[in-house]
Amino acid sequence: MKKNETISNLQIRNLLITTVIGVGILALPNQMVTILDNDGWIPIILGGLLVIPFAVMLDRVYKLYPDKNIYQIGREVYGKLIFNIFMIIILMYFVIQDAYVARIFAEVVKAYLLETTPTEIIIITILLVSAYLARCEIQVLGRVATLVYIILITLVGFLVLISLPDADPTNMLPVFNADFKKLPSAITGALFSYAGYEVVFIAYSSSDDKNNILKYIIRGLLVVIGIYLIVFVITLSLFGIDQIKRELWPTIAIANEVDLPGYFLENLEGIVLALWVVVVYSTLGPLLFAASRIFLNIFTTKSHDFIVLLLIPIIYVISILPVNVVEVYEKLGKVLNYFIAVSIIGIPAILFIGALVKKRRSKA
Amino acid sequence: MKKLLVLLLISSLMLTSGCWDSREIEQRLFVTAIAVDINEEVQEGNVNRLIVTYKYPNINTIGKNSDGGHINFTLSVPASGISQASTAFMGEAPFPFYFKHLKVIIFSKELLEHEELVRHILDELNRSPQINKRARIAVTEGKARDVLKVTAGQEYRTEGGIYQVLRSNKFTNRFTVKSLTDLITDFDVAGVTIVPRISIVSGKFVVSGGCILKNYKFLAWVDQNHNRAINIMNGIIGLENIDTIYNGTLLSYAVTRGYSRKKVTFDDGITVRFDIKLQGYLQGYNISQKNQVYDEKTLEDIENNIEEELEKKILETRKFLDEIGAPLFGVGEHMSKFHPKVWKQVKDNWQEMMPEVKFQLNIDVNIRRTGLTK
Repeated sequence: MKKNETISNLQIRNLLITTVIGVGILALPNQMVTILDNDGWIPIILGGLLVIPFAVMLDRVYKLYPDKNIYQIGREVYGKLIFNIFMIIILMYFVIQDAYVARIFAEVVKAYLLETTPTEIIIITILLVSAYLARCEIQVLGRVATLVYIILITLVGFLVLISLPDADPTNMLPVFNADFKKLPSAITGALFSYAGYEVVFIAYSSSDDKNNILKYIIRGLLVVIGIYLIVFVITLSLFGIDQIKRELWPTIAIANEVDLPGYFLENLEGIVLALWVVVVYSTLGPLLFAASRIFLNIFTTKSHDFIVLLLIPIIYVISILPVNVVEVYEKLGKVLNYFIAVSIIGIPAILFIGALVKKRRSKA
Repeated sequence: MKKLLVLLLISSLMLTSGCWDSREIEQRLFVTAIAVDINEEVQEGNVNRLIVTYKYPNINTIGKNSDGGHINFTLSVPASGISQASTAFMGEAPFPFYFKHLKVIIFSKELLEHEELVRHILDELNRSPQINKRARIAVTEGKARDVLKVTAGQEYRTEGGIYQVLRSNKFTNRFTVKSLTDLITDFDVAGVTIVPRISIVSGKFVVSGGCILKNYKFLAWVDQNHNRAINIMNGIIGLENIDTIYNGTLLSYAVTRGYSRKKVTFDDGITVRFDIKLQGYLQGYNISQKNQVYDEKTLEDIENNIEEELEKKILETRKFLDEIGAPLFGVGEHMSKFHPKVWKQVKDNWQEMMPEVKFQLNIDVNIRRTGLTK
């Protein structure tokens, strides 16, 4: 019985990878190239590496309070009221992030696959499917993540394969020629592509081997950096910077660039999107799960599964607020960026410092 | 009670179609080629400045139950844009159009005189998630719609003869294959590009030579010899014949493969060294007892002869391109990638500088095989 309640570190790593990689991967090459031209790969690496210290901090917090979960630690360090405010901020973050992902998902699917299906239908469908996953326990999420991880690797491999014949690697040149004053803003941009890694800290207390978990988390982040880099390199060598600056979602546009022999096998976006839908599903599910778990701990309800259904309408309403895709990125994205900054950097740092101070004091 | 509910839910599945708006494959018209012309009869203030022509296969003639009618249909309509035409066609076409199998886009020369129209069309094509971005581009001197009408009866396969010809430079070097993405990228990088020329000769289409476009506008036609030189300089080397006069008689050399590399130095002005290496075989010379090629010295001599001939042609082409102001040898792109600092200084008046750039041609022709006879 005990064994069934835990998940392995490998599953946690996969959960991290599949949660972080979602809709961000589609627009990332465009965002990086727009700011830093050919050197967009630098912020992708630096942004990813920047997340690692905060992951280490959260790991230290857990090590300071073994056998406790994040809510218990938080309450002990900051008291119930203050920590609940933190939690509400994080809850809002997860909800908005969910809405954002669902909306971009709908925009992409509508543009490429289901031209006449209303956006609302696409959003509701993906949210309901994700809710089914989110209502399960953490072990199920871990298993789904492991499954989706294979699909994700297939997707990236497929993209590399179809872009090889027409790729021109010299498009990567010149390197180190951009305006490096823009590097900080590029790094912040890239950092947001790593949002979602916080989900592992909700899974942390279910790990079966807590001593080695940090190693797996860092490995997971490195895999994410690797996948982002691969996607950046293939899009850039296929399109060149001017065309990437124009493309809204260069990663999917790769599928439009393929010459296949024969006549009726032309719609490769179908294959790419089919794989990508699963990847988005494994982003939405864990986010929804995390949101409902936090909700459960703030209001101390018994189980989290009915909360998921409660959150769905809220997420749906937020996701249909922006009028068009520009507003999704410019308005909803902007709001979300503040929450991401707080959630990726702020909360881990505050929790770490608080926990450290508290421990020192209690020793003295 | 629970079982009843499940049963009810399952049986309700039978009533749902499974698709939001299902559409059968035969209820779609797959556009394979589009021709864009200028609308000459347009009135002042009318936005329908184009005549757009679609070509689509008759699906009923495919397969065993073919009814033997027309293989392809063409439809023309005055329109403001390429997709806008499809709504204008709805009066005559039975089903909606579908663009994912678009293979060929043909522009008329007249259209390319209007920069703003070209920019609009390219943006529309690039923006649409429907359009296959690898569709091949070609330009014709006359009416683009005539090319599609000519080919409609000529083709026996739905893929389309024009597409098969325009597909790759693997078997010929007489034109430069250009896809929609290539075209847009070329305009981004160099502002100048070359597109295959398609013309109608005695009721059939012929692709040969190219059309140089500059800043989204027509600049000049080039014949197939110039086009071949441009291709070789850019490293686009497919199967190709080079004819030269050796010892007073015609000699043909067939190129099977090769490459071209650039190196730019800045010691004394800008010097570009092109390393061009061609491999191939001797295809034909002169049958007689004394004109044998079977010794090293003669072969070397022939190689030198071909090299000289090629160099002459390339320099001719360069002079022509400098005169019309079309830097098509990819030197600018090379410099922007490998010498970004110098490129920053020169890119604004690159075109005026182009004639002063020194070319150092390092051509190496290899005869690897001489055929079955000595």
